[in-house]
Amino acid sequence: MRRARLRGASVVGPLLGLVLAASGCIVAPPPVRIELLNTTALDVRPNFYSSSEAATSGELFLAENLRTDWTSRVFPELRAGETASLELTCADAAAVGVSGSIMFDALRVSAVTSPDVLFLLRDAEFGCGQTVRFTFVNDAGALRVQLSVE
Amino acid sequence: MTIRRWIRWGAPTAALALGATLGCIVTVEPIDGGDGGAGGPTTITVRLINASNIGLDPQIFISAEALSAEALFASATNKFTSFGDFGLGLLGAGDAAGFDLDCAAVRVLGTPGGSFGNDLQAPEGAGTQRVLSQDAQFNCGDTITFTYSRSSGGFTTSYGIN
Repeated sequence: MRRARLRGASVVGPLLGLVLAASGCIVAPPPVRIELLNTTALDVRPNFYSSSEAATSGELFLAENLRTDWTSRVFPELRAGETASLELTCADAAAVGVSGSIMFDALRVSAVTSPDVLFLLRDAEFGCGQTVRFTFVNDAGALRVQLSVE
Repeated sequence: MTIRRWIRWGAPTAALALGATLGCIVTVEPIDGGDGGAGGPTTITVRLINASNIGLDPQIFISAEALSAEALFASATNKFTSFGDFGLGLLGAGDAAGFDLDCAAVRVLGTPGGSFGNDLQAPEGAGTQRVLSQDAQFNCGDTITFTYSRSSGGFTTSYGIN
């Protein structure tokens, strides 16, 4: 009986893998959802970065890792009160963060840069399947970035 | 069917059916309430008119990034000079120039006023600072005209958008 059960179990795993592979499917971990929330009354350029291999902030905050595909607008900015989101495959989200976020008053043509640099590593500060939310807040004229992971 | 039979044969069969039915799912979801789009204008036209009787450096600065007027004028790399005689960004008395800029390159555009004088190493004066931002004072597809002229006691720079 014990031998029969073991023999049965040993067949299921490889067979299931074979079937999934034959069907062209790869079971991937759930994606990471990124949310960018502008709670200010002005335009905000989030300057959100992601990388599949960065392990340090210096490796993440490079021009090549700047993500702007969360919008189809000419300029990668959030309008006042606007929220945008983006889903990254878990493999593409080894590290995420924001740096140099800008709050822009287009009428007065004035801008302030946030002092906040947020750098997050997958499996440390967030995990696959989680939502990472960056909230941009006007704090008495200064742009601050708040972080939550759910 | 016993549980053991289901595990051995039913589950793989179900997985095969599911895989064949669904295939692989790739999720990429850019989200936007977009106001951009294909088919619309892609350039901004800038016209410069030197309405004075002396030489002019119009001092046109542009930036693709949102920044302050001070930051716009602080960087020499923001200065646009591909117009005028010999493409030097200078206009003679009574001259005019025009050029198109890619909309994506111009979040902010302005002039500290222009520098007036036949010897720009020793200018006679400066006009009025003007700074404009896209989606606020102008839009992609607009024509922006800066007019540099003498005024009582000095120089002035005005602009129009249409």
